[in-house]
Amino acid sequence: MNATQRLTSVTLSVSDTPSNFIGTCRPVDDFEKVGRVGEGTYGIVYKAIDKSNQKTVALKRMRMEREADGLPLSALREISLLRRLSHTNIVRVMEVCVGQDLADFGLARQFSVPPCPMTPKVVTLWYRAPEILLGERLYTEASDMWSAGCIFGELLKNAPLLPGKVEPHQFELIIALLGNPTERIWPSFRDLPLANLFRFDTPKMQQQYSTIKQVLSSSNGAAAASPQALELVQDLLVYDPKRRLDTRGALRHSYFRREGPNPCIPSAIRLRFDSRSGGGGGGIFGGGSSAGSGNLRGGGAIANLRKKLEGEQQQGQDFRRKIRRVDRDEDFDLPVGARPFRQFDLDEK
Amino acid sequence: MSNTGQVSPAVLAVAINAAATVISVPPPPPASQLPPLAQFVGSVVARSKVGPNAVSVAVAYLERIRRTLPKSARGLPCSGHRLFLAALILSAKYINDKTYKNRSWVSFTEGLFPVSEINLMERQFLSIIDFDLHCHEEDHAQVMCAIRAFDSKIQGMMFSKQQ
Repeated sequence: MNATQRLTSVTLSVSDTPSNFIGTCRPVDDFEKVGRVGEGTYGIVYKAIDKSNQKTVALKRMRMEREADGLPLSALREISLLRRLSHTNIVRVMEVCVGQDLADFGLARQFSVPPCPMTPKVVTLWYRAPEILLGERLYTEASDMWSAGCIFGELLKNAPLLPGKVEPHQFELIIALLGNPTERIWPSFRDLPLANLFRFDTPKMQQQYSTIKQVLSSSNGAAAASPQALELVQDLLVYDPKRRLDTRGALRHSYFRREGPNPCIPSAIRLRFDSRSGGGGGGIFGGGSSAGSGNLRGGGAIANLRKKLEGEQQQGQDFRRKIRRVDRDEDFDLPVGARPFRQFDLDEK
Repeated sequence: MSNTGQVSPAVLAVAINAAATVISVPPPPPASQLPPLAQFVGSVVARSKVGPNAVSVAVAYLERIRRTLPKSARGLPCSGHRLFLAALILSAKYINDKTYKNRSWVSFTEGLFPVSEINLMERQFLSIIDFDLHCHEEDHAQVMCAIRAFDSKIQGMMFSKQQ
């Protein structure tokens, strides 16, 4: 989602429903779909216009396997959690409507202390952490950090990093990228429930070295990943979940600290949302990008963004700009690279 | 507490109480097939094997609904049954990772409600609780407190019987 036409809300809808549904649900016909934004395991997301007020919303159509099955557990958890979350970077559920419906929260599950076993059949295969592949049922938020590493790598590579077809293939790809796991780097991984389903002794599963540097050095027209970006991917894609970078560590990472440009709110970056053409100078995701759907996926987006920002800086332009924060209804002046928010609240707790 | 396991008499008693007080209902007509609420709650909990956690979270939902319904709200004779069933279906989906499809609940209610009605109940219930399936801490504390109170009551009864 981009800065100028930020989708601040999401509308979820469930398939055709009897008309005597009580409550405040509106029919999905109140929204006009203008484009497809993406598709996840649990549903398809559309960009849509609320006909009643012309506001842009994200509309997520939930997959319903069978009407007779009732609402899927994943969708219930997703809606319920989004309902309770409030953050500018997380879509706000405006309403749930009937007829046909993002923030990816397929895995959404509230923590329990002490941990209790969870189902290992989660996460799109490409982003699934090795411990989940090996059947770990007491997985932690470290599994999400793995997924984050895969997605960050995907942005840098301009292609999925680990597009496995089935579980064994997924593990082969992981090993081809990172080298095979050993007792030294991941103690007792062989004790995980499904470890004996994978033949770690076959040649395909034997790879001594990590190839991540070569893979991300340059491909598909994407610029080579910067040293710190590469390091961040490496620190996220660590076999042993206990040694994997955690959220706090990631925020402290030198990629965000030592390498410019500094983090800033998205609205401080002049982005243009261009869903069709990749015309020169037309939006940061345009040039050299194959990002047809206008989402963040293609184009070595991060590298492009950096180039663009650096270019502006070199030209000595005044890039202070009036920013309107729609959510707070206030205007302010902000230079690119400024941190309008407090630096990550690392030491609060 | 675990997701599976026995639902204690105290948890069941609190659940029956919550289902009975969530909304005031008229008595069923004489020829009604509707099972008594206590029997219905006990049977659904036993058949579905959702475990004590799901039952207590369902009670928390019912308490939340009881607070939001206007005092004057009146239901049908089967409203308590319906609200309890919907609360339990949703709490089980929210709490447990392995859950039933709604058709299974038809058999847990011994065919009292068809699946189309169960689906509708589920959505209506979500709408009433504003899609917030989180068991809020205060609500949870209140439920646990009620369970403990029933527990000591039951213990006391057993103790006096022994004497």
